Amino acid sequence: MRISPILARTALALGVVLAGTAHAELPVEKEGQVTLPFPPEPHRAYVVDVEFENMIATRVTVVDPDNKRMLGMLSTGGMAPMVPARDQKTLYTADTYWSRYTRGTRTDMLTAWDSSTLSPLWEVEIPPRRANSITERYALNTSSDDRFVYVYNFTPSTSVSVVDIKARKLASEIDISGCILNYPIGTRRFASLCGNGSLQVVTLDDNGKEVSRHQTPMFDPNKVKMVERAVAKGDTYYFTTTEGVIHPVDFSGEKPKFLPTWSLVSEEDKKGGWAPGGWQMMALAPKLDRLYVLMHPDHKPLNWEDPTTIVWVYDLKTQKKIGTMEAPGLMWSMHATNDDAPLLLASTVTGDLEVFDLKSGKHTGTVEKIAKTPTQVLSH
Amino acid sequence: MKLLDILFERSARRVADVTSRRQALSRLGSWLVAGAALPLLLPIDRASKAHAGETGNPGDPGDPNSCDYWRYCSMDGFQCSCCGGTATSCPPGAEVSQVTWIGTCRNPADGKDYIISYNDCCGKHACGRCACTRNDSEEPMYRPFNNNDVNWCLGAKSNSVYHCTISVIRGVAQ
Repeated sequence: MRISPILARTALALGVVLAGTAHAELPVEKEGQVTLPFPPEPHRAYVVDVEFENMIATRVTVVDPDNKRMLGMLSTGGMAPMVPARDQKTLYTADTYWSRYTRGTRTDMLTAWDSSTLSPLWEVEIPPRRANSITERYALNTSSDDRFVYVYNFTPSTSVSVVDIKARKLASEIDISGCILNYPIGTRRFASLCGNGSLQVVTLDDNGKEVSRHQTPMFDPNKVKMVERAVAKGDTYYFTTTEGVIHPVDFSGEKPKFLPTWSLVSEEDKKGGWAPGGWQMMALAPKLDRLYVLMHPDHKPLNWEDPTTIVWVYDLKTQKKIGTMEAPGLMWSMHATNDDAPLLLASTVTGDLEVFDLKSGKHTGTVEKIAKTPTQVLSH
Repeated sequence: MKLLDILFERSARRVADVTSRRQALSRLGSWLVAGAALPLLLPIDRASKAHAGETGNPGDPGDPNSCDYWRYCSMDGFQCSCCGGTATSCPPGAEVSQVTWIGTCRNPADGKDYIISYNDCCGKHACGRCACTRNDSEEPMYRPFNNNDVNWCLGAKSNSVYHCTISVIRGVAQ
């Protein structure tokens, strides 16, 4: 296209005059890079995204739920689970990579990330058996002193890779045949949930090698379905059955202590067909001593992993229902932050994050399209 | 308002919002949503597809491209029939995993419960078409062979990436 010289000169002159009257000339700029503050804000959230329509290049999206902002992301390999270290400085992911991206030799790595730069710090090769599933909260964990990281393996025989964080090397691979996952207990123990209805506890030494193990019967797997996606406060874990019976287990002693069970639903609730359902269907706010559960009316057994718009709130001391919260999105996985003024963060099946202020019990908004297939939400 | 009404209203509105059901599903795009929303979309689905592919076998009724097909009762993934394969065969070049999870589904034609293996097809990444999740006979992960939340391509020779899932009759449940 040709522009006449007169027209061009006129437009240019007009532009200069307008710019000159409205604003000072902008200074030359320098490119930059954002670094997140340390220590992390207590509400900073990590949304684990398995990207179901890809599942090879996956991600963890970092979110500021108060301001409904994305803060950054980690690029992870092959539906990697993620866990923040207790020191708040390090984040761990257990990644799977293929030498030809979609095929070739499989390599699994434990990757340590800096929580401020969101860049990899170091990595350790781990056995190429890391469980490849919709991510489970208790597939990747740290010992309470951050000395060891436990990675759940499934081939389908099951084991746990123990990584020594101080030495930055694999310490051992512990066979947990017949059992799944690693629920961390204190500094040198982890529990696993077994197909025979028992809880197995493995004790490690300071080199990350097994010292002892024992199993304690917990439930009859032919009678109830125990959801493996528990929540914890310290060394007390809360499991639920698919019918909504809570089984609290205190692991602080030598053997697990089974505290009295209680039901999420009254007889009247049962008549309305109320029962829990979702992926990470429970969340626990430790400072409020409250439990949050995704609930369905008209529930059928096959709905046990379905999403919902409804959260029921329980006081853990009285074991009574004390409220209901609702969000516009279909929530599937929840997490409550660990601070004194906690938020409940719930990822939806459409990739949004619903945010609730737990002091007021109000839904404060939605972080839209923050993920593709979010499966877990975590915080420090 | 009951959950199903909410879901139906949401699903219907979503379908109305976009130009096609396929687009709607691709926007939802997860195991779970497919499971939650698909049965509710079926009246719309059936209307839009009219005479879409039946098996042609009265003893094995249904549309292998629909999540509603009886033998998909514990399916969790992409239906290979939409990805270049069939209900029982992997698409070209995708390797069938020999280790798998199983479910039990009732065939409406004869009222019998059949044991179905849900073999994953592997070696190419996610097909992304016809996501289907139904947990009719699913058990928690401590019963792995009845659990569909795992990538069973670990049982393929290449121990590789997940592409889609087939549903193969292994016998009648006793």
